[in-house]
Amino acid sequence: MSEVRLPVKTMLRDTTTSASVVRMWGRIEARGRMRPRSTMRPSWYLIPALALVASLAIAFVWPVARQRPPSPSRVPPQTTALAPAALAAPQAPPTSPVHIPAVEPRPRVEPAPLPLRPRGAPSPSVSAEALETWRELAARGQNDRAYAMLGPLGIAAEVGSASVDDLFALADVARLSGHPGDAVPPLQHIVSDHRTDARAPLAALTLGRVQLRSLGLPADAAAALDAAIALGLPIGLGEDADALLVEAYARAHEPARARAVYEHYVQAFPSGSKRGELERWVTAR
Amino acid sequence: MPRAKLSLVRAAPGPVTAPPPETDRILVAGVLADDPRCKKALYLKHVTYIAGMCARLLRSVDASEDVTQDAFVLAFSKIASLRDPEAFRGWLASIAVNLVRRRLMRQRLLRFLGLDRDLDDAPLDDLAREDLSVEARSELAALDFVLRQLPAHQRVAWMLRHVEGEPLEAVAEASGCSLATAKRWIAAADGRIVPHEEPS
Repeated sequence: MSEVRLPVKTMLRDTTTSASVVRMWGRIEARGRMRPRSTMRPSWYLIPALALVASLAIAFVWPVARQRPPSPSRVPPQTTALAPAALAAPQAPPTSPVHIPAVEPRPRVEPAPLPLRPRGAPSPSVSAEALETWRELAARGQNDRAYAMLGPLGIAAEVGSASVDDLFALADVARLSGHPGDAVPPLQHIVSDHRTDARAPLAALTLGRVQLRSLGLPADAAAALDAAIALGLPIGLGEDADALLVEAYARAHEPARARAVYEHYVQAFPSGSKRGELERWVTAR
Repeated sequence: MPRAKLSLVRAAPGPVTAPPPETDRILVAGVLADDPRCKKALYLKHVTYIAGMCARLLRSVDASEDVTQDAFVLAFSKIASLRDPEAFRGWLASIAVNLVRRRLMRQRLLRFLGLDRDLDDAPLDDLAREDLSVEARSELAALDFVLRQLPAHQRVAWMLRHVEGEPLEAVAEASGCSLATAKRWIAAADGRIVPHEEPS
């Protein structure tokens, strides 16, 4: 019982592995590259604020303006010519013929055609600003706001045209704002459509971890982790991937595969820190 | 609410094992001069402390990685506002603790609404060293159980003081409150956790 008298901290093991240190640094670097290009860009709240002001202006000012009598300068020339005579003696016969100038009919002015955006052209500048704004928010670590800015379908909509950097950022926004399910499409897109990118194994590993730990999908997680290993993980991440794969197979009720991966782990990492934990997965479950 | 009767000895809140201050000063100056090597060196120097602390506070290794990343990203983006480069470690810890508190409060709300899908994969007893006895593990589990019932601010303050061994001033700074408030929170947590100190 001597260890019971130890301070709490000395009883705890260190959870930080070299693999996690490498992994976190990779993500920090990726997010650091997305530093806002200019600090003079409008903040995220300006867009809804301006929209609110415009709505209020349309709702209240425009009807009032429509009901106001027209100002003299706005009276059409035809009315200006008739008004003095009518006001002077509405009932009496005219003593002199009233000169009514002939009014030339106004030539009809065709409205200028609205500029049409050709199909396939980039979306208007408003959406470009919104895109910039979620990047800014994500770069500042404000993932909840970035997720709110993108909206529930925003991440899925961006996936098709996003770069690998943006896909990682979208996945981070989803995960870190508490929506791990929305992190799956961008990560899957990296694995399937950017397989040659050096970061594809990292995306597959992250996908596996999200599916295993946050979504409770061990079979899907095992597939993603297998893909991560097949794509060629950096040496520092191999131990983590193997450990997660053992857990994924064990939780997916595939004990034979879990055992096989565990044996590989023991061979590859004889003094691995997760050996005891993995042994419990392959023996007790 | 159960009151834990524990025989764990708290960490002696003594001097923080801070790195040599001039090193942090040099590295911070390098980061301000946009030197990526200094940035990485600063990260490598403090990541173990920050990630470990976050894992213990959040009871989750996965969540601690997320918070650690956020803390470093925020710190590097705001490093120009750091007045005393020697205090980088404490400043970074206060950023991390602030993120931890926000995450704990959000977790509690989501749990109350039944919407929490995060797994606590690292309660204290799971973080125990492999060579610990069953008794020690069970005491850690009891401590973890009581800590889990505490409000986020009390739990964070108590753990910073008695698990991480931070001085009261650092606890107050990291918790974003006054020294008196930090003492009050720790005392309130102490009311639930009754340790049996080692008899002298």
